[in-house]
Amino acid sequence: MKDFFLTLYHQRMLVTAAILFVIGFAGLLFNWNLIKKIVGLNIMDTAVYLALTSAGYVNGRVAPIMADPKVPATMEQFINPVPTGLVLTGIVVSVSFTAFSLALTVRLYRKYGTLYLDDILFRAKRSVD
Amino acid sequence: MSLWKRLSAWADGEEREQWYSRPKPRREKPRRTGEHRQHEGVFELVKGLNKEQKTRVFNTLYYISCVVVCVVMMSVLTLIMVNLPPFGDPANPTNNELSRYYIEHGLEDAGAINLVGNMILSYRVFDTFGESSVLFLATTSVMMLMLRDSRNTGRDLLRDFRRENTAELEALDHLLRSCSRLLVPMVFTFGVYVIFNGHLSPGGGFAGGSILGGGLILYAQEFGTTGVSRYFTNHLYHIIKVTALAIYGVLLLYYGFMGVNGLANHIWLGIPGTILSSGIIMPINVAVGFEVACTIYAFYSLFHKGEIK
Amino acid sequence: MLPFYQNLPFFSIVACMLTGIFTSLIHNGRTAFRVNLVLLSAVAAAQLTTLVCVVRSGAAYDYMVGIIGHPWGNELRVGPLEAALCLAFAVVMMMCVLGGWEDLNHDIHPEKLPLYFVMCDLMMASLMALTYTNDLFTAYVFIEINTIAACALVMAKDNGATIAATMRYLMMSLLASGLFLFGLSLLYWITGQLLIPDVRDAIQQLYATGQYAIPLTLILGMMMTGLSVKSALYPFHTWLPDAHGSATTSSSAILSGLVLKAYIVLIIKIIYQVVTPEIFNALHLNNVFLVMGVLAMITGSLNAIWETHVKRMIAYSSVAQIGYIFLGIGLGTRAAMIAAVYQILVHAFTKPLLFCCAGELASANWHHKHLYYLRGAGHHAPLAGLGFTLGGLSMVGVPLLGGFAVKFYLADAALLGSWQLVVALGALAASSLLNALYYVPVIVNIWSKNLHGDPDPLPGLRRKPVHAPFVVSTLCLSLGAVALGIFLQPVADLLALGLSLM
Repeated sequence: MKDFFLTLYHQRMLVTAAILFVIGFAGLLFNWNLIKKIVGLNIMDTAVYLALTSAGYVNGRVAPIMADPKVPATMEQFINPVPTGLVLTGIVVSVSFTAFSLALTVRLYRKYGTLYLDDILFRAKRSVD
Repeated sequence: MSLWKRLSAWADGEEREQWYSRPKPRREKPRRTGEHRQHEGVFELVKGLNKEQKTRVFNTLYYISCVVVCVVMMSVLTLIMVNLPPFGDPANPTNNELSRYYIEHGLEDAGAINLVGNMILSYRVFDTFGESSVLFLATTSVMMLMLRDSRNTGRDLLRDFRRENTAELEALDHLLRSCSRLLVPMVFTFGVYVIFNGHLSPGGGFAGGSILGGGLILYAQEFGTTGVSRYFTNHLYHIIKVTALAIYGVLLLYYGFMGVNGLANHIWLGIPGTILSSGIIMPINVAVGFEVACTIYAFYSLFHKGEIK
Repeated sequence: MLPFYQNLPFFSIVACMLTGIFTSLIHNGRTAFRVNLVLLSAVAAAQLTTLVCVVRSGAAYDYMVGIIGHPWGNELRVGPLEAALCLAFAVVMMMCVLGGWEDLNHDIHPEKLPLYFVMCDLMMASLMALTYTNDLFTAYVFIEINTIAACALVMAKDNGATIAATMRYLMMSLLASGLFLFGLSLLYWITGQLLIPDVRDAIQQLYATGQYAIPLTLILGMMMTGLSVKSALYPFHTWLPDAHGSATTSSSAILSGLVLKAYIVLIIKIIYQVVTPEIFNALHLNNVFLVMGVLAMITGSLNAIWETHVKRMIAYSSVAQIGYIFLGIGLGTRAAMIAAVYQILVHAFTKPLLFCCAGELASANWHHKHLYYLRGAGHHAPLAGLGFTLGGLSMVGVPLLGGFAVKFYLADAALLGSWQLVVALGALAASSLLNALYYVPVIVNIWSKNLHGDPDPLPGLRRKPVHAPFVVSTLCLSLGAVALGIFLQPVADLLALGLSLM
């Protein structure tokens, strides 16, 4: 049991990421309100970025920006730069999708006067030609 | 009528015209929000119940299955993470030759002292072009949805827009105005600084572009969107966006083609650590910065008024 | 210096993206349409050249984008299979746009029409990048491009139903992307690599030593779940009928003919190049695909039988046809995988044919899409009726058409299995019968006249004049469907060569 909790402590970043992911996922499933669903999706994405960045972290090393270009960089100095770059890509993608889904929400609200996805789908089904 | 009956009748040559019956006109009943969480597939199971009971049954089933899914998800993730290599350990598989190469050879290959910048804008420049395209696509699709046209904007909506516009001009807040007059120049300067120092310090095109876009939004808050439209028109927006992305794409083509064919590319890497260094990274950062600034302001403007001005 | 043809895939991808970016400056829909056609023909020509050269050289090659050598940058991998698929994608994309051009003018606001073609261009870029990529993270980025372009294609019609369908599609897609990226980041955590060959080596080492066995299985499961949601495998297909059924004709054709296929190609790439089939079968992930594929074949067809909206019916039929592909993947042998890839090609030609013809039939009947109103539509638009008949018969599996070839190869591959034999053959038989149950009545319906003196559902209709784009599209797509049904052996040989070089 003690070992298990010790493992959980060592993996604290991943534990947080997993909890955040499930919170986001639950937010997506349990809410019918579109805005809340979008917030849930964003929380999920954040969890993924936390997992990805913590993959590159190494205890006692710093961010990979060289202080002095004349001194050659060594691996013992800096953390792994790969996940940091990938997270940047992920964040940009998530911003784009948030904007897109909010635009869809605005249009749906103008059309149906509600933010509840079940109502919207029910009424949309009736308007299929 | 059951499928079999229809099928046999059809095979016998009867009822040929009734294979598909005329669709019934649908009447729409007014209903309260959130009243019907319904699903026809589930209704087959609960035929004897009235509507409210059916809804309740469906809701219960739905929530129970959601809880089950979440619990399964949580346990799967726990199972994975308990078995992964420990966090922050230098002996992890991620700290391999790949990251060693990026750290130790990044400066000589690409020329920026920001090693993350080297990684995303030189080694993996193709990915990052894809990422900028996602942003471009997002603006394009928001434009498809929100740009005013004769189909999606009725007279009521236009009246609302006009009312908001006049209200915005009347309600320009004095406090906001004087504060943002102070802030806007600083925000712009900071944004430009972040963009142009992307290869020397944390930041770069995406971060700096968001700051610039935020500055534009603040400026629009200060003088109203009509104030912005004196400098920043739809035309200018398109020109900046397309030029920035085209510069990026052409650089990618040149860099990729020369690199893979083993030809010398004539890109000057500059003196490491100074502002004129890092080969293609600084031009790309500038292009991306302008594109992101345009995108952020376009989102604001499209959501706010349904046009870019 | 490489031979020049090796640059063509990279050039095609970037050219598509740049053309998309420049298309956003065009104000006239017709000009954007022409630019799009020129681009797609150029891309198709480039893919054809690549295919011929690669087959002649007899080896696949890696293309490293950027100045630095093998494991440090982005890479593309080009082989005969990838080139053949991209060629098919480019041709079908062009035909989809041509076949739905009239409906595009009807459904989309003229000011927004150029933006539609921006989406088409970027969609083509992402299809090619997903097929050629040799890097898992590049795959993720282009999955996102594909998703956003696909959603935009659905909502381009801009009425309530399509926007609601897009919302649903977007939610499912984002959930799937999240799962894929989470799986990818955890895979990176245990392998430390992103390039596909390096990940493969790392996975093989891990599998041999038995290290991280549990996380490896679960992570692969997560990534595969994400991709299955996007490719509408059975329990996750709920978004598909709404999205494909309500969109405009070209969008429906592109979505079901190409977009679903790109994700399946990625799944096949992951199985063959990242995990290797031996490990994949040893982890029993293929059996999951087999069961889900069979369920998709049955339930998709059952749903289609009860559907009365013609495009939704074809969309449910897509669910069933995707099931065939996953049946082939799930059987786990090389012969079955050839059948699966064959089905990708056949479905890529047949389903756009059905959608384009259904759109034309509907527009000949005042844009009514209910099957009741489509009675006799074949007489108002004969070419569309013929195309629909051909496509429907191919789906049912009539010999000399593409669908038959797929069923033949799938049955042939299933004969080698043990319990898979019964399941696969039973599912094939049942699904063919069910396909006939909904396609044949529709075909009879569109050709029938009022024999019993019933009231004409839509009196006063005349024959619809034919337009050149539609004729070209129908002829090309039908030719593709027929050619795939007649030249079985050469195509299968090419696919076998491609799979062995993957």
